[in-house]
Amino acid sequence: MLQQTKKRHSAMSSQTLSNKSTQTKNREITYREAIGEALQQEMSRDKRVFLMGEDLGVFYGGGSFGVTPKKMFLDKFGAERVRDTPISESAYIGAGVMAAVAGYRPVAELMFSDFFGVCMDQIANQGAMLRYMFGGQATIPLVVRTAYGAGMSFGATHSQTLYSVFAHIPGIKVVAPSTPYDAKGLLIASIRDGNIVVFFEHKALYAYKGGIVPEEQYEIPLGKADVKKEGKDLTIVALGRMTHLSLEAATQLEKEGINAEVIDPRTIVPLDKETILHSVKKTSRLIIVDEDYLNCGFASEVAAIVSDEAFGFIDAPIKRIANPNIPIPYAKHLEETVLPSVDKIVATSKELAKF
Amino acid sequence: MLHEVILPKLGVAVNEATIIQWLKHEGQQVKEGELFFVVETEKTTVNIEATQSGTVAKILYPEGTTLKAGQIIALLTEIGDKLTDEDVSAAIAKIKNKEAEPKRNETLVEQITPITGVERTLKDVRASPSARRLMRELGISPTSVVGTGPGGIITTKDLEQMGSTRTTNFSVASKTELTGTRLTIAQRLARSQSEAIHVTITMDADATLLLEQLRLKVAAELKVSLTEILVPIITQALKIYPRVNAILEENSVKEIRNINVGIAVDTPDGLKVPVLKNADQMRVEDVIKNLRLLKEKALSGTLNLDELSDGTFTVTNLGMYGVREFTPIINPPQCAILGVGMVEDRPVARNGSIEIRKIMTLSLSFDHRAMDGVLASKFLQSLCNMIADPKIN
Amino acid sequence: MLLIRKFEYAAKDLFAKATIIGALHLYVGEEAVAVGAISNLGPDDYVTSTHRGHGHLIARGVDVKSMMAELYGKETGLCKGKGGSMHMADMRLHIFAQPIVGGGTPLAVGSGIASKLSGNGSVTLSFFGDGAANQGSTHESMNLAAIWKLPVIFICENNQYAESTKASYSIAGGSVARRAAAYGIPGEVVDGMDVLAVHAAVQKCVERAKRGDGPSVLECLTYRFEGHDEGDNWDTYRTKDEVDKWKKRDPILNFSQYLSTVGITASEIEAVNAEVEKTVNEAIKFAENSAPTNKEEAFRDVFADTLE
Repeated sequence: MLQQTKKRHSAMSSQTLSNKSTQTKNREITYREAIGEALQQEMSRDKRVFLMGEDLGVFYGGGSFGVTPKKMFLDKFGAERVRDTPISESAYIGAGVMAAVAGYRPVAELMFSDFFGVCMDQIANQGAMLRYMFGGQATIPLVVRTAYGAGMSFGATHSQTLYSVFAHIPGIKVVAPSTPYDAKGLLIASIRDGNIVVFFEHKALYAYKGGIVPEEQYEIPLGKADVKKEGKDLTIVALGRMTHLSLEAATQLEKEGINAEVIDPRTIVPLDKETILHSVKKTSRLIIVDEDYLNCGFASEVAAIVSDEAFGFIDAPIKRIANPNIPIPYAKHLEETVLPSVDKIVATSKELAKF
Repeated sequence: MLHEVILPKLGVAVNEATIIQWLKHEGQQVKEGELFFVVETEKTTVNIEATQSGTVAKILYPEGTTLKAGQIIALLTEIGDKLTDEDVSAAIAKIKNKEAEPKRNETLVEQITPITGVERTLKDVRASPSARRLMRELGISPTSVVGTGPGGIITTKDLEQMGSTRTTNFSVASKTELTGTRLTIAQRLARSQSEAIHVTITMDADATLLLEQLRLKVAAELKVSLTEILVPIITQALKIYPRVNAILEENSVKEIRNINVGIAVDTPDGLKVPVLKNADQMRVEDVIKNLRLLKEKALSGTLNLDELSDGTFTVTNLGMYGVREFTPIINPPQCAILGVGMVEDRPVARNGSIEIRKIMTLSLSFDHRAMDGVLASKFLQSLCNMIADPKIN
Repeated sequence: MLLIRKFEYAAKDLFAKATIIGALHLYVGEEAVAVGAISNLGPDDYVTSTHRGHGHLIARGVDVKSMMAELYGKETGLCKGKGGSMHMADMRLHIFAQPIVGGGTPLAVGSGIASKLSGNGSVTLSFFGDGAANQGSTHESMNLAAIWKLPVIFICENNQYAESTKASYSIAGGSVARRAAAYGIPGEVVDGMDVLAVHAAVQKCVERAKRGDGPSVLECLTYRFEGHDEGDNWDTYRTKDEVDKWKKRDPILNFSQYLSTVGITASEIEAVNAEVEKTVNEAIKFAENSAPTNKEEAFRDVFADTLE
């Protein structure tokens, strides 16, 4: 099965085509457009899908980050299915949970992942647990989309990542794509998934364009990592914007004779352990690059899994490059000091190459 | 007051001993320093002195019992003491209880007895988890590896570079990675190197008459090679000395009834050792025919697993490359391997004068854990004699 | 109401014997609210409930045997033994109870949205306590339901206490019903000890919702005769006098008296009583005889397989 995965996911042009066998129009679109397209196509295909969130309709052209342009959404589907909400995350995300139970496919937006505090109960104690507590009686096919990440000088309360918070609680699936191709396929899969999925969109990647995005619908299964670059000396696991930094670092490292493999897990829960373990068994060295805070986070989880399940194959200490446990500063140069960077990845890689 | 008499440990790797003889019996007095009992180990027989004076109250194990070192084998009372039977029974009961408890120390001792000495040395060495695993698997002793990681830690790449020179003052002309068969061969050789106690003895064999026979065979258009003609002779010798036709497995030397001779063949894929099963039960022609078949299969890479397994003795010939004598490495779990050297005209003293005879040196490597030098020598001698005076058609 | 009362007292006993474990929040005294309200509902309607949820579930018609088995932690339990007293649900009857205070109100908004989108005319009753009335999520939910004119009826069961805190202390403005006006929706105070009064009040709200006029708020004044939960030393925050005063207005007593005035005989009531007794006893037997949930089950139902 692993062989299959390696063959299918070479670079960024692998696809899983849906039953629609229309002519593939391949073009490059931005991350934001890819997400919008996924939403629009799903809403067209499935009447049960509807959106809830703040300023989805007209603000900034549609959605605080322009993901839901008026012409594509409000005008097309109407206010019943594109619902602008008051600032009541608790109410409308909770409503999303129940509407999902009642048979709908809501996609609620949490504008910034930093705001998780005002709706965490609804996601964690309700959405995540209803199915289990009620002995399997309920299914909650709800997607909560949220924007995350730093690098835009938005300051401490608008730059956090925090996917670890959701990953920590059982019953929540967590997705964080890094490319337009991945974003579209994963969002479609998330909407179709029968569980609550928190979908993390990196705000600094919205304008990013890179890689072909097929026009037709396609799904990328949740829980499948992507080997974005193959290598044999060192494994780098990175998500979201960190994937791009890692690829850049890998290019630099090639020049120094270090052949790094970059793995983008794409989904945090469920995590594709096998791909990561297979890689580390090959390279014997691992770095995890994570934009979330270091303490008790995703990077630590991967390090623990690898040290447990690939123990006899490690040559070097497992390194985590993540945000230190301090609020993210506003000034650009300060923010840069704190966040993971290409230089930090290159330096750490060279350290590991000594082992 | 009862004193315990302990079976002493008689050497670093000696864990057991057999009580051959009690020199003092129950009821007798023994003085400190007096000879008390006689003990035999794998290597030798030892007379043990009493470590204190007393009367022998109870002998716990009779002559002929083999026990672990440290075991209590007798009880002494102080001279003049009168002890009841109950006291003695109670003491014996207590001893039995103690013996029933798992003796931690002993287990450690057993572990250290190496089939591989790697485990003991791994503890004290800085090595990455991956390197540790490989060293265990390949039986490589860490003392032979130089660690180049930070702080001198041994990592996988140090093991990969092991054996090759560490200087890089030359430019590499080509690189063949050890994978697949080559890797397996390398691993087995490494294991053999570190586990077996290799001793190589050499002896010259007079092959003059044998080669005469060969010429006849050649004339008969069989085109028999030296190795092929040697195999039946070797088979005979193995019959006479079955101890040489053995494998070392699970700490035991197992003499095998089947004489399965492996022949080392150099192939493009590396060294292969196809095995001729039950060579002693074949006629000479069949031996030769089957050997050829095996050689062909080896060269074409079509040997099956069965043909590569269950060898009990191996023959390897470097004579055609001009090698006179060498130290072949035993193929585990076999216990011996015969290396055949080049046949050459040599002057020898015979019947008081110098003659030119066709002489080849045979190099026999054997595992000293399985047999000793005398046996190996006798085997080799027998082989040389049969070569010198062949009685085959 | 009798069934609820009997069930709750049976549970109380079992809890005292440690046959039922964890936490138990009894609905004794409040029966009129659940029964009065839920008796207005049809099969498509939704109910969200609280930690004090047995009353609502039983009023909705959930199988008492399964409920008892759930309390016993058996595989035949409503939630396979995985929910317990505080997390019971029967999705076929569109009812579930969960104990996060204020957690149910946003969920009610959700079923309200579903009702509107599907156009099937269903309504949602969202039960919450005087304590939840002050939770942010409750305000958000009322507001959202109001602006979207959702068919949700917010029923505050004001039993005068949120654990040990007096409602009169913690509710600013003194009334939950009056808060509705802030959202532009009707709010009414109802005698929670009178099952017929509750029934009538809720009926009005249901009709309003079905007309498409949106949500309403009801504040049912009621009282719990037992503690907040079993093990509660309620005499530290309320007097016996107070409890006795409310006990005189026992909804079951009241209703029995009312029934006698409309020709129902004592023996008919006794017959119902006996039947209820039998039902509860059968439920206990059923629970006792059921097997404990298989340990493997503990690992299931975290995620659903993807459905189309």
